[in-house]
Amino acid sequence: MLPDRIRFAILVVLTLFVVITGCDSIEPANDQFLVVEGFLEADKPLPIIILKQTTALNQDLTTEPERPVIDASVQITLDGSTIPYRPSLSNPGEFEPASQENQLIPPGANFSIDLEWLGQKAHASGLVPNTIALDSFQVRVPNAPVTAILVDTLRLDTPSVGARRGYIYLVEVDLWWTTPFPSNPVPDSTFWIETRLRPQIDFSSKVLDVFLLSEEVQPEENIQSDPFSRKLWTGVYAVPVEDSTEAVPDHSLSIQLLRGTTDYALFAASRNNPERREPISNIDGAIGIVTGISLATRHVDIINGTIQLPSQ
Amino acid sequence: MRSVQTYVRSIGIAFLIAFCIGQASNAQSIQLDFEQTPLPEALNELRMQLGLDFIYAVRLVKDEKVTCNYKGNRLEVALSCVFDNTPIRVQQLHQRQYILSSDPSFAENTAQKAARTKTFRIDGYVLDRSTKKPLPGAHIYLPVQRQGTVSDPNGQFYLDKLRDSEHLARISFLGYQALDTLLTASSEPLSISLRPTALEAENITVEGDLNDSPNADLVAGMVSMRGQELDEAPRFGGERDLLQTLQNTPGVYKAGVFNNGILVRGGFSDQNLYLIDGAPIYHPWHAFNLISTFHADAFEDIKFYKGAFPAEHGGRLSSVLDARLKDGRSSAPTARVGMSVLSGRFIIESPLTRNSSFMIAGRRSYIDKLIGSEHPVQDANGTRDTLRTGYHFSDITAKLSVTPNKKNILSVSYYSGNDILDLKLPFNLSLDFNSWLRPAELFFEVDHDWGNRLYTFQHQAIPSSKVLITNTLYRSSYNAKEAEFVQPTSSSSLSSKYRVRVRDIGFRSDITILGSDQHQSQGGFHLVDHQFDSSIDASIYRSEGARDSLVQESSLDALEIASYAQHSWIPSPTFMIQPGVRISYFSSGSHLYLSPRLNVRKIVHPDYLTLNGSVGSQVQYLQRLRDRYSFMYDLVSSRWVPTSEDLNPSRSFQVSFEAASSPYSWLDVSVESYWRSSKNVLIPRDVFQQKDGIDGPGIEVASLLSQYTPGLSRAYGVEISTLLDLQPWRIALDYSGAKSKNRAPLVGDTEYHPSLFDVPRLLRGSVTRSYSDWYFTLSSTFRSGYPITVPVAAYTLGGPGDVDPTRYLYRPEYNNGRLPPYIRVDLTIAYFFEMLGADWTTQLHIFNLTNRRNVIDRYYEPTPNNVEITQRKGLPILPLFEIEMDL
Repeated sequence: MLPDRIRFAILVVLTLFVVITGCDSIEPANDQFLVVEGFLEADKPLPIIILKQTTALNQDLTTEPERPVIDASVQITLDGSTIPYRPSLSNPGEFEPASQENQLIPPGANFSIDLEWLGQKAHASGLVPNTIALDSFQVRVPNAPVTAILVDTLRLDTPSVGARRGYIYLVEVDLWWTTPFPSNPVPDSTFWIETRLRPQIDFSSKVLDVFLLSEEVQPEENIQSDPFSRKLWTGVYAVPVEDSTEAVPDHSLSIQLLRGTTDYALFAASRNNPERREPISNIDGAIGIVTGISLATRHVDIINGTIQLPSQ
Repeated sequence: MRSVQTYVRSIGIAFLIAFCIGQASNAQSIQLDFEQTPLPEALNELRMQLGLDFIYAVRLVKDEKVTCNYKGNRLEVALSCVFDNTPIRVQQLHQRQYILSSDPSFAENTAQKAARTKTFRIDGYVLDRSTKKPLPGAHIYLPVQRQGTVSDPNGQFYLDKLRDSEHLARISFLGYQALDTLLTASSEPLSISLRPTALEAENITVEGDLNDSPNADLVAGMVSMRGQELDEAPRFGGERDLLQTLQNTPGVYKAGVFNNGILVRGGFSDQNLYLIDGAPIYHPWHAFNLISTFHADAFEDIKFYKGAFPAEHGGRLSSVLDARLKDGRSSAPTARVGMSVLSGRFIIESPLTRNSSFMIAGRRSYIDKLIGSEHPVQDANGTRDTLRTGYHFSDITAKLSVTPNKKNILSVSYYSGNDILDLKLPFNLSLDFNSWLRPAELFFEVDHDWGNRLYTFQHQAIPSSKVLITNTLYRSSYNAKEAEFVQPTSSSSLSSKYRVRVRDIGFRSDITILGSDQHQSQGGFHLVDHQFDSSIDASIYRSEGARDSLVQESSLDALEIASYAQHSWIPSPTFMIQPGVRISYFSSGSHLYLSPRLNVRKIVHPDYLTLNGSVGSQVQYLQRLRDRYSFMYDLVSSRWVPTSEDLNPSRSFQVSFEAASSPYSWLDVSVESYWRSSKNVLIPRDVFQQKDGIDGPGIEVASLLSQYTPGLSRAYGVEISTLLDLQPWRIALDYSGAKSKNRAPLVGDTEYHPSLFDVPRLLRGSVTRSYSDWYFTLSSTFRSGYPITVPVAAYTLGGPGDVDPTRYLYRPEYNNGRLPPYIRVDLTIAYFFEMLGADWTTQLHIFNLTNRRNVIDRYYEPTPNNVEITQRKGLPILPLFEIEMDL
């Protein structure tokens, strides 16, 4: 027979063991959710709305594509006018205006979108911003590359950083555009500007990426103006080369200037870290984004270090 | 206002319930049936049945047996029934407290008669139990004889011309809990050691010292440790670290390994108030929060309040650590030096004159001395450079104490601690030093320097035997500098200099009035001038023609005024109640709040069950916030932001309950539970945002606050502590079952989510065995994994102008999953020996004995055809060594 105190000790240990071994982990559900995508662009026809379902985490999209949603009801209300949508017959998952009228979206218009799919309702609303135009731009390619530290990944679980030295051209791009909007006086403090430089060059360095400025989202009123009261933004992207004597490789560059509301700014500022998060949605009852924008894009080629506009 | 009324009403109801409980114990019927029952058993029955408390010497009762059969409701008759036929006299001391002494009339004979005509003398000392320092001015009073004396400056006393050898005596001292006991004349002077929670008459011990709040231990969940206990507390990694020691307390744990503070009962890390001699420390950490600035050797005692504070403390929601420095008041100089893996340390204590003494202690890490902090390098072309790998922390603590007379004590305390990180390194670091230990064209420099400095002047006055006044004037500052230079290309660079400063100048005055045995009052006020400064001056060259700069300054100040009053009422020895109230005003935003507190204790049985309950509200006017965007600032700094007109203070309401029992001499068990609700705590507005670039919103307070949103927080739990002292074995088991959740309604949260470091289950255990001069401790920690956000689905989405959509993971709920449980086993082996006239201790601490690589973080990254899961692992097995010498 064990002494009382030993029995008590065993009892305490067993009790605590039973208490702590209870499972407290939470297993995620694997339901399917509705994904919506649509951008109402100022002075452009009503957009196509894309509807699809989420997939399982480990679904291989190369062998098993996403499942489109074709049996939803969609309607957009634009400045009080309701526009029914219907599924596209040629592209499953796309919804287009039921009417064949080529209606343009007026800048400053208020809109809302209502969707229903399998009893699930979703809604979003917003404002279509004033149109935007890229007044001018300038690309500055330096004469010679600079030495740069290239780091593919920053891993905290290894003592070796894996950095190496290489050469890059730091290409600067200036963009000018005009604001405010005399013809449609919505205050510019309402809007955000997204500027994006997208060179057709594959380059990434974890250290350098924070120094480069190939895209930015900021309130339009915070952006500096030049002496002629035009908004001015300067971006920088990198073009890697093998050695210090190599000329800048020919490449094409897409320049994008976008005006949007806060909903779009939240979406744009949160969409570049898929390993950490998904973009912030503005839709109640679904995932994705339906928002108003105005967009100006230019495509140029950089040939022998100089700009050449592509033939139209 | 409505919530204040609710608090007051709740406390009133609790007061009434507690009062009724106290009264209910007076109306019991008595039924005794003893037949040759050992007297100790009979006394236990009386305790259990009648709620009586007896004070006696064990030797007096251990061999006695009683026979008594009584049924009725007259207490005096029942006691007479039990004791009439014994050589023991029973005398009432308080309402339900009795003292047992030998009855000279029981077997009176000639010799005894002769003895009664003889006179006796009692000599003794009154000492602090942990420090063995004399306590001058203690009162020794014999209530029956109406005779008394006080101890002299050496703590010595004597009583002569006594007619009996044993006397009921009351020993009291201002700020001490009075002791009622028996003093026996002896040829040797009595040594009366005073210590906390002493109830054993045989050892004649008393709780508290001059600096204790009256009945501070009434507060449920309060942890008190004194010098000896701090010395004996488990050491982690060979460091004598106070905050590491506290992490062995149920409900307390450190969040993560680096850059997070301790969390107490689900609170935030900035909701803990750290006090050194009454003055606040704003950043109590060294070595990236690996160890604390509280060098345990330097502290006389600490009190740690978990959620429920007495009214004298306020300004934080979660906990208060009230630590008091040693003052060197010992009979002879002492010194201790030690060295662990991280640092070397020393402490010297010594009397200076008959009425003055000092203590000085210091620590410094030495890794920079081993590997060098500057490395001159040269390449084949003759280019020279100096790389730097400097890091060290250091602190120094000192206190000078002067006792000019029995009515005044003066002390001056100083604390200064710093961390300095000074690096200049190339980017291509690796374990192959030769590959990068050469001049580098592309490099980064880091010059970070942060730390606290504290000056405290304290005057304690004893104008009468019933009044203690303590005045404290202090200046506490926290300064941090983050300077960086990063050159990733020959034409790109970042140069930034960021500074943070918090400065407090404060004065507090506390008065304690010992009205009677049953009534003690305390009150005081606290005045603090806060100043908060930050600045940044940064230049970013992205390329030759693209340059940004950021030059900003922020300066705020605020006046905080608080006043409090609390009263300790002891209607019976088994029931104590301590209501209190604290009123505070914060000038920034003109916030005024009333914080009522109530602590209640019921001793159901001195051995079997003691109950404590606390209820109260707290207000916090300062919050520590960190920028969530930029690498340029807030990397190691703690930036505190005061409330304002636009930012309301955080407030909380907490109820806590504690039941403690020592049913056997070898077993202590306590069960604590709590529930806390907080509002206006600042929660990140975007929980997924983290520092990922140079650009940020800037250091202005509005920019910082825009990253956070006022939220609600709830925490509740139960904590069980068990200590089995089965000499030479000692087994400790602590279990915490808890939940802490947050909700940010202003950003659309409709439900509470588990907080970032929510730990529903935490079990710590240790087994200690000593063999002669060897000492072995095997300790283990088992806790739930921290919450993580687990994606539940994947989808693709494109943006305007995108050629291809991007694949994302859908995370509909924040913190909807958990990491695997964290399990760690540590082993400590210590050996004690004497050499060169000194006492030595060597210790080997093996961290993570089983080399289990716990998962401490997990990432989910979408790929075009799957999800890649990356896990970060915790530290592997680490042997850590320490050696210490006591002179």
